[in-house]
Amino acid sequence: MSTKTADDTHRGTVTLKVFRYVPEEDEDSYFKEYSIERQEGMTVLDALIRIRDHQDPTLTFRHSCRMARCGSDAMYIDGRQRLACNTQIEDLDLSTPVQIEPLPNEDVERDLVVDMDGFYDRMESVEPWFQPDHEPETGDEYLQSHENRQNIDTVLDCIWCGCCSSSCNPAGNDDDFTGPAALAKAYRFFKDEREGDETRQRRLEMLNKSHGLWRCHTQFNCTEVCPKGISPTEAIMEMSKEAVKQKLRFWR
Amino acid sequence: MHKHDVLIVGAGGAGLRAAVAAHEAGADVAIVSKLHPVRSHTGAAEGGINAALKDEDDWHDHAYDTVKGSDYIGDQEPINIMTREAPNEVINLENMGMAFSREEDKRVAQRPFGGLSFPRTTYASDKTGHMLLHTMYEQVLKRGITVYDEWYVTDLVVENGRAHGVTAIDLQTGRVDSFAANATIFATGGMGQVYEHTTNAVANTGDGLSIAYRAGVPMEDMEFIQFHPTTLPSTGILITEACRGEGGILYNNEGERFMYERGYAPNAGELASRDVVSRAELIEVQEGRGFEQGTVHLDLTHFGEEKIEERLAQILELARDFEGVDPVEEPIPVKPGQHYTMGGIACDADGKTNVEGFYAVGEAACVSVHGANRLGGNALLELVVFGKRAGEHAAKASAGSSSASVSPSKVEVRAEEERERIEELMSGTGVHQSEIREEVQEIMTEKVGVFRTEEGLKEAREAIQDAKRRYEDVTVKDSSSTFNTDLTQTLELRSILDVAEVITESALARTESRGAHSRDDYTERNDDDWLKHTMAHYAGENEYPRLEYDDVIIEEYEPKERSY
Repeated sequence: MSTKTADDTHRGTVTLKVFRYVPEEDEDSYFKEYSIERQEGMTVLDALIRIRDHQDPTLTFRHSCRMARCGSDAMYIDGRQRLACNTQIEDLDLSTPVQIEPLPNEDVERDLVVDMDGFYDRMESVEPWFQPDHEPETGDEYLQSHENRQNIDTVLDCIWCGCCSSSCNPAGNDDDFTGPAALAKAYRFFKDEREGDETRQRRLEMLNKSHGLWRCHTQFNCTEVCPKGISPTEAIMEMSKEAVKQKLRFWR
Repeated sequence: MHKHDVLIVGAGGAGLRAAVAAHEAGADVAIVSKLHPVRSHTGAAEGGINAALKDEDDWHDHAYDTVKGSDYIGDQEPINIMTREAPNEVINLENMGMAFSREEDKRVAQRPFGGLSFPRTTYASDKTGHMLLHTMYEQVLKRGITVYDEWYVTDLVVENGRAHGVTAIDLQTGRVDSFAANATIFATGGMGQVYEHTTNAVANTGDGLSIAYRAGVPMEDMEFIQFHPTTLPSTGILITEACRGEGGILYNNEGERFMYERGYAPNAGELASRDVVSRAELIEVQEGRGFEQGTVHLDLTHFGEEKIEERLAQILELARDFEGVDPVEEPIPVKPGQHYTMGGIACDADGKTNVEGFYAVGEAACVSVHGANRLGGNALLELVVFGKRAGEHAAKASAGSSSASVSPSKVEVRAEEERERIEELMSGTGVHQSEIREEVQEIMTEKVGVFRTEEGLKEAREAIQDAKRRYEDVTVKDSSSTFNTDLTQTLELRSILDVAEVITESALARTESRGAHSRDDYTERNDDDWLKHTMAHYAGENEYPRLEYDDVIIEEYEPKERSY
């Protein structure tokens, strides 16, 4: 793990107020404050790692690539779902301690680690695998226009961090709701011209249910917090419109 | 106790590809991984995957480029297999739905890359690894293959030259359990955390290497560590070679395009192979022609915003978010960082090792197709080609092996021993793992980096021995059994120490410069004495690795001087 060392510029200290809960030790969760020296370019993840290495080895959180790709260090930082690794400390309001909590709407396993199984189940529920309804046009390779590939580019970038689902009120209240990440994943295939019309239709019918497309309240919370700039809401709206156009609309 | 025909440890590109292949061959397959599959480091690969797809291209040229890139120490037989099978495997990925970037004619797009004589790198913007990882995981979901995610494998059970399975901790509960299998495949990835400045994920601690090494499998060619020439100075985050493939330029502080103007690579310039560019950058800095933090500049400003956004979108994000630099407006400061290990668990082109029923694949393995220096775009290729072969072979061998030859009770006995080892770690009295780890990472970066000397390597060797002594009574300070990352990191540190020692010992012995292994005191390549593979064997807890050597497989390409 490379963190800033040689060219550090000291910026004073920063205080992190971190959610703590160890199931076999704590009846209730609590917050613990840590103060550390702040350096230029320091991210929330850098700070947490430094605390764990030098102050409190019992502090537990998930992380791996520290480059906003693995999606494992999503947390609730100062009241918003973010990736700890690409959140610069200096971009936060430092007049009060930086508050770090596990993702809301998910069960806490320990400290900042939440149970992601429900999230993964939702992802799996949309049959997120390529299902072409025809043989490849060239005999071996499916053809895809440059434009079609560009159209799905942003949703393809989803890293399964769970920020969107955690920020989504309907997803928090309804375990059966497919949720924004999985619907964006469905859109990734729905829009891919290689699958063909038949599969496209089947995918739409699959999502056209009370706990599917129509549970979205178009609040745009998911879109606002997505660390990769994806808009699940727009993807959902586009698929909903298509369902209406095809008179598939599910009547609640 | 869990029991499967084929057990795959690690869920990156190689592990998932092996799982799909073994499943298609009819085996009962399960994957055990310390991360959830989509968190695997394959997702961080940016540039692309090589294959001679076009009519004007030829896999023989790809093979030759790879042999030359390897500084003639890659084995030509598996290189031929890899490059010949590349087009099929890339098209197979396309057929699985992988979102490659497309040409105007709607076919899979290709671009130039370092060390390649033809623009044969297929890509998906600069997120090729991400697209590959997710596509492979989708295929695993489709087939309903069992995945034990967030289980940390602690040991491989080998008795009488046969693998019987692994022991692992469920990170959620801290419970140690046993997994018996007819065939076990390690696809555990890289070991970048041996170094301080690395492009690798924090999870890349070389666990699979260490476990296999201790189980009696030699570590092949571990002195060949790849340093990528373009990483962000403050974090080590990778700035893909595709930047140079698309026409990015490297400048020193005198405004010189030094790869050409200083004669490092008069023909290929910025697209020389990675070892050549990394050394050139460091020499520029050492001779006073670098920038702050020991960097040179990578300039993309002549591309214009649209091209950068289309082909290098992730680079925009990474440079802006992690270095505070906007590549549309200004050059990116870059320096070499640890990136890849060409060496690994010694195995053949079917992933087979010297232990019956034990296979290795991906970055953890050494087939060897990368030799002394890997070409960009060949790592993702290696994952799919050899992942498929290992999966198929393991499934076939598993079906053929009588169930009596695998002993679940042996695995259970080892699980009990692992429980005891963990209890001991929890009750140690020594220092905390972070202190030992930081020291080792620093000395490896300083003394076992791009340039090496006998004196520096000996210093590193001493420091590692000292670290190993202190590790004997290392203390885990967290006593909880729920998601105990302090314990995981303590277990991972043993892997880091083993791997660091093997790298250093192998590098100290190799008194020549070849590919990524560059000795200040032996600056020439020496084919007479060193056209051979290092095989490092575990010789006991307090012993140095025992080094032996194997011949390189030379077929049509005789070694000659390398120039770019």
